[in-house]
Amino acid sequence: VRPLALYLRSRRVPAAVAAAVAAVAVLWPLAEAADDPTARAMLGLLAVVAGTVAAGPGLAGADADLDRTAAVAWPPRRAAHLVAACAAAARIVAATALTGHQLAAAGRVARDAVGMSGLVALGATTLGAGRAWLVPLTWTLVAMTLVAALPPSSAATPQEVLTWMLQPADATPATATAAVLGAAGLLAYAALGARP
Amino acid sequence: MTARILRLELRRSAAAWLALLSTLTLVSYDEVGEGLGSIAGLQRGELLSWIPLALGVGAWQARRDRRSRTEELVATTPLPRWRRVLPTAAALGIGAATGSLLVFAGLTVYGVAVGAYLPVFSVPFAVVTAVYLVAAVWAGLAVGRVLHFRLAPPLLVVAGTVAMIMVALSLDDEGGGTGPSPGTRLLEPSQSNLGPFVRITWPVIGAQALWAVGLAAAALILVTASRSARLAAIVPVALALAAALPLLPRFAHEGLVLDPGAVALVCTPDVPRVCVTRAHHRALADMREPGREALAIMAAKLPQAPTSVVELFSSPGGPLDVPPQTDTIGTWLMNDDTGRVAVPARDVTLSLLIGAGTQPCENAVISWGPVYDTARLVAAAWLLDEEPPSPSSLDPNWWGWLPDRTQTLSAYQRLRALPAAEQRARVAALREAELACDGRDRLGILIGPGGTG
Repeated sequence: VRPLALYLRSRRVPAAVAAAVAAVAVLWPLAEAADDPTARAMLGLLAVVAGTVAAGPGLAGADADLDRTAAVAWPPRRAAHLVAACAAAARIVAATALTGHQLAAAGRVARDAVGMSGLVALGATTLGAGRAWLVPLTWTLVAMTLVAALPPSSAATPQEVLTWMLQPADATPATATAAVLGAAGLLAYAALGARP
Repeated sequence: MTARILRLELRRSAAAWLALLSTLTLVSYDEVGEGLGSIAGLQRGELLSWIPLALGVGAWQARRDRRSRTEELVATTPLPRWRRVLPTAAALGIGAATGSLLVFAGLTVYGVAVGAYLPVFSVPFAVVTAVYLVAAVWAGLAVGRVLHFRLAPPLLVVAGTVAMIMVALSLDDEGGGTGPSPGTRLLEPSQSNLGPFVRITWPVIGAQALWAVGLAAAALILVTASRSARLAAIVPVALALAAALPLLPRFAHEGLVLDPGAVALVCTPDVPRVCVTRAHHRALADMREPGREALAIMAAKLPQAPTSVVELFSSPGGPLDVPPQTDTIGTWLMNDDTGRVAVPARDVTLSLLIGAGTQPCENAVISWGPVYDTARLVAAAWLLDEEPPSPSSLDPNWWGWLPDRTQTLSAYQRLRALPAAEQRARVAALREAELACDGRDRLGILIGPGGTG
């Protein structure tokens, strides 16, 4: 257990968990108070985004060169780390369902967590772990403006792909996009690791 | 020396990235054809997303010295704090403003190219949008100065988004029990209800400019001032509020007025007249032929037929207050993002003939349900002398409201089964009932037993 605990501490997991829990703790009452369903969905999405981007800095160790010298196979470990981070972020948001008043529907939480984790991983491999948050947050915010600008009836596939995180849980193109992003992020991060 | 540092900072800081990020918003503009006023309003509304992002970029920039572990080293220099951080803040501000103004300039060029309506007020309006963004990025720097943990920038983005949504929600009480929103609502940065026909009054633009500059100045003080002097940030906010409040109207909707330039009619030079508003003037070419066809059909088939087609518009905050006119077909345009009509000419003719060339009466669909639309569609089908169209054959974006085909078809056939003079009298009676907006059952007029009265 001790190596695992040390690993988790070196990857700033306590701070990430604290941030994710704090985000849910703040957003949940706000969502309960909001009677607008769009705003509720948005707050639920933001809770998932906060949880996944909080894991971003932990995608790299304190010393990339030192990690590289270690005689361990990093790719499976990196993949496991990302999957665990994604699952934890989803669990923390989904745990609100235990009280009977869920912050967001389980299907959406799972889809958003997978897609956002993929984006964080892609951000870490391209921009570096410290800047990984920029990718999922920028996409989410641009999608928000896009949805606001489009008429609500228009649900063509390219738009559903661009605004996947804001689509209802049963939108197939959105789910597919999230799955592709998750898989791409997982593969890229497992193979390459975070950019130093 | 300062200029040299500023140049360095422009290259080294996140300024260029911030400007680049702003251009991402270009994907979401789809109303260039409606004129520059709509675009400026859309850009202002997008601050809902860009203020949080600018906060995050600012907070990220503020951590630079700590990231590179030179914080203490830099702090030992004899320069006062404001001289150390001012170039960074200036570079970020330039990046934020440049990005936002470049997007606006690009859209203006496109607007000029397509001949869109270009109202003057949109330029200062866009500048105020840029100042709000500068204030946001400086506020991010100020927050990053206090919270220097690694997760602060992304969490600040999330918190900023939540705050913007909550503020927008709490103020969004139009039509609620609390009455019209107060004028102070116009100071919410992302607040804009600009449509193609609406302009914002000059005093309100002035108030927003003062408020944005006040916020930016306060944020800059928070970034540059020493620990004890930071309280001075209250001063510009208070001054800006004091100067802006007298300029605001009592209610928010009074800050938006109908733009006479945008709603001025552009007509075909020859009769029969087909007119559209100046904001939609590009649609005139697409409206001319269908408009004339509809007028010709009406003249051939009905007594007291209208003689012109005119585009309708609603004034801000109020319902449509155009009284029905017997000599005019009023119409709402079905136009696309470049300002041209988005549907085939055949559909335009059909839409002009709906209800025998009348607009639906207020609340009629609510009180009568689909029967009302059925009667109006059957009248158009009778005028066109063809069976009512099936909703699935038409663009659902525009024709999603069409009633069920079996209903319209059977009503159409029953109307057709009547003697020719009776058919004509009944459609004319429907037109009269629609123009008067009386309470008679429209489908009863068309196909009911005693509907001629």
